[in-house]
Amino acid sequence: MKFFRGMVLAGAFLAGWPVSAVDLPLEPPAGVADPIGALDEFRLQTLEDRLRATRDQEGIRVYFASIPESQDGELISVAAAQLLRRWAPDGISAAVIYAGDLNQLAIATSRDAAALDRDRAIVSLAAQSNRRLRSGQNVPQVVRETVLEVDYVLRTRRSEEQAGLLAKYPVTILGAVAGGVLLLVGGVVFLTLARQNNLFCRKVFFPVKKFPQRLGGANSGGHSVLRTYRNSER
Amino acid sequence: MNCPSCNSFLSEGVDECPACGFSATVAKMRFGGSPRFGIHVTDTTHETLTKRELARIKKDAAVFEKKFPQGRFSVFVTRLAPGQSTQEFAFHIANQCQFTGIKDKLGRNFGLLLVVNLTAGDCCLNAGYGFELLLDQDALERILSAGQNCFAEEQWSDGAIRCMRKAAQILERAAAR
Repeated sequence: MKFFRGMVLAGAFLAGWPVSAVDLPLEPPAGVADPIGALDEFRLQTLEDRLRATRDQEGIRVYFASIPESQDGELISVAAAQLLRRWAPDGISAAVIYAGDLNQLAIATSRDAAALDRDRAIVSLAAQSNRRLRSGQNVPQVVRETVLEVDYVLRTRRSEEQAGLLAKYPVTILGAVAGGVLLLVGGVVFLTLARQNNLFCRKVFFPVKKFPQRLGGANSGGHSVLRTYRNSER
Repeated sequence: MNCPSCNSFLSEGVDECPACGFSATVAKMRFGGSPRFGIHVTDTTHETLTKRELARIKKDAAVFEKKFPQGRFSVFVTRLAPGQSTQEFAFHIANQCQFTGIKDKLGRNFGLLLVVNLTAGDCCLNAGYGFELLLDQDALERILSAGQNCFAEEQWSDGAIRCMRKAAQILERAAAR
């Protein structure tokens, strides 16, 4: 059932049909846009000020939308994704949409901004925020904290990307390097010892020939050379 | 082949040197019975080679045997009485002591014996019957020359090891031919 529902939603999202009923802006707002007037001027300004850093650095936008309650509850997620799709060319990496009629919010992040392993964090964050909203917590506060969390997730992701693989998997990489060095050193030591001890040497066999005994010697017939090693002056 | 005592030419199968009468029996009378020996290295002076040098020579001799399973290179450092011939002594112990084993007689004997005589300041390399065709007089000369300088500087183990390695090199080429 869930699968079927997902398929319908995906098809609808691709067609852009369900959100056509929702009035979504084509251009991204400067920071926080509240066309439905969910917040008064002061609260809106406060929220705007507090989220300025996230807007400037991570390109997160907040949109207060009006989504009729009669619409499917999942529509808000589709709307968020739709918004982000529209705004992505303007460098927007995440959109937080709050539906006043449903008292729900949804978060969409661009694939560049959050990798798949981060998507789970975003989804659970949205679920947590919605629980808080349902329990009657202050909307601007929940929205603000949600945006800051999204900002944190994106920022972490970016710093991991910048730090590279070494920061991401330090133990694994160090282990691999240490293992490689050990293997190399071990190989060199083994080969050196093997060479010194003729471990891989080809064995040489000599032909056995019959010799008559000479000077009565059973092992040697006196085939020898003599040399003086001591210098004459010593 | 030449006589180890007077260096005169010996024809095959002679029981004693026709020129000087030298033979294994004569050598036994001059030098007595078989001295105590190690199959790879012997130091009858008990002070010339250190334990470390003995170990080094043994190790290289083992490597030599690994390459030439039939062969053995033995080093014998001694101090003969003045006037005693190193070459005669080498012939004597090569036949008296079973460096290569009791079964390896005549053509089966692939033993090389390096004797260093500290009294006379000379060294002798003696080859078993098996090596006669593989190592001629010139080859034996070259093997001894390899260690000569080290012996002159009293680096006994270095000299012996150089001789051993040179012998291995020459034997390998000879076997390939």
